[in-house]
Amino acid sequence: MIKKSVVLFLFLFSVVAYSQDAKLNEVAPNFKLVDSNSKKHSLSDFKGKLVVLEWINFDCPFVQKHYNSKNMQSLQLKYTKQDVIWLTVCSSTEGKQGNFNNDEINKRIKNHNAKMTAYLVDTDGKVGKMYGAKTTPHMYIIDKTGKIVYAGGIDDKASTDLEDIKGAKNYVSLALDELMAGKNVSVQSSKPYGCSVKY
Amino acid sequence: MKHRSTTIYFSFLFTIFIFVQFVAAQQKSLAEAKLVVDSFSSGKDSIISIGVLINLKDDWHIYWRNPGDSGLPTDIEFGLPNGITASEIKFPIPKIFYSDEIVNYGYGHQVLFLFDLNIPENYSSKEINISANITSLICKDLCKTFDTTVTIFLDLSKDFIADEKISRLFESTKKIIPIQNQKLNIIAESKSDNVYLKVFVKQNENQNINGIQFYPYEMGIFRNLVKQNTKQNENFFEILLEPDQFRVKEPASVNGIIVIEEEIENVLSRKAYEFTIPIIELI
Repeated sequence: MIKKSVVLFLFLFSVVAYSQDAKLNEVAPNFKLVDSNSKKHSLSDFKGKLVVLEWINFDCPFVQKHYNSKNMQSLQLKYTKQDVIWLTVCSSTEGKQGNFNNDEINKRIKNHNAKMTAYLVDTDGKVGKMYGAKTTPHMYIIDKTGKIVYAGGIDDKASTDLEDIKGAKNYVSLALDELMAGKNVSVQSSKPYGCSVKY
Repeated sequence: MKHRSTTIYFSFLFTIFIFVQFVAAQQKSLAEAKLVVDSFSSGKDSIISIGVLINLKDDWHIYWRNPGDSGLPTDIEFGLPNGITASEIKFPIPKIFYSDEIVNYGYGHQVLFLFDLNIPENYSSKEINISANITSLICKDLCKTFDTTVTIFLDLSKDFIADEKISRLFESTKKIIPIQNQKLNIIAESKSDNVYLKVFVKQNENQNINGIQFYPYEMGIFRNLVKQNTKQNENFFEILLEPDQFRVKEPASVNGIIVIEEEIENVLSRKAYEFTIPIIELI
């Protein structure tokens, strides 16, 4: 009887946990995902650190804009060197664009010379839906207290044109620089742009 | 031996050429654009109806001015001779496309984006070339960039009679272009983070209304829903506009179109009214 109650409690807890909507200035919902090297990660592992969540689909033209131009990799390298945790999440379900096996993911990471901390696989889309991830890319920043302090686009130029990156206002680097300087994030949300997440 | 190597080399190049042509043809057939013109009278009409007609392969869609949760707004830039100007894009009423949590506004199958071409009186040049560059995104369960330029030649010295099909397309599209609202009394009230849009209609017209939906012009303000929460009262409809999960700003006004679907004598029709109104905060 006790065992059944515990199972029921755990089930209800997990349903509540996954139905939580991520909100600005509130604690980021915890999640557990496996990366492309079969290593388990939990958001709570990175407590006390700045965390970037980047939704990805390597075949989306908007993602290709930021990877082919090396814009995303430069950001990953710059900030992971400064102890920022960069988690790239793929919520493409099996059979849909952007869903690859681990070998293919790692091959693409290597080809792009990507520098994320980990590429997390969210095939059932639970984490994506919990965070309200709508586009690829869709960016979130979690501060050292565990609160979401930025959600939205990578920058203010909604296009697939690589040339637009030069003049764009990059919201992710703006927020990370402000946080590292002990300031509040001046732009906390922007309209994310890109392909739809392939749930 | 050398001859054999050369043959293999050229065969390889030919295979690559064929492959590239095949890929290009596949891409092209997903969506095709062309410039079309409605009939006009030479010397009489200073405004010519012109349109960018886009035909899409089954299940693919292109986006409205507000694409919704993802995608890219469709943008068209004209290349016009000096002195000739084009109006802003007149977007027809969009349709809703959705998949899981994601709601988009756009067009499937075929869409005509309309423009007015303004020709100055006594325009000296009679033969003109017009180009239009279309940038957007086309999506099915995957997305492709759509960036193409189309051109058309017009002889302004002669009357032009458009193909019957094209004329009919202009006629039917004009009926679903939103018009500036002068008919409906609309008010917007906010309570907590929600905005309630009240659309007042005459009691006798109320009975014919099958559905009512608000399409916002601005992105990232209101939550995009397949079916908005709407209550029908005696003389008004109340549409609940929930805030976007990560709203980009507090709205001071509501800007967009109200689409009313009516059924009169078994004939369905859709009409759209464009408006901008301030939000009244309820305490």
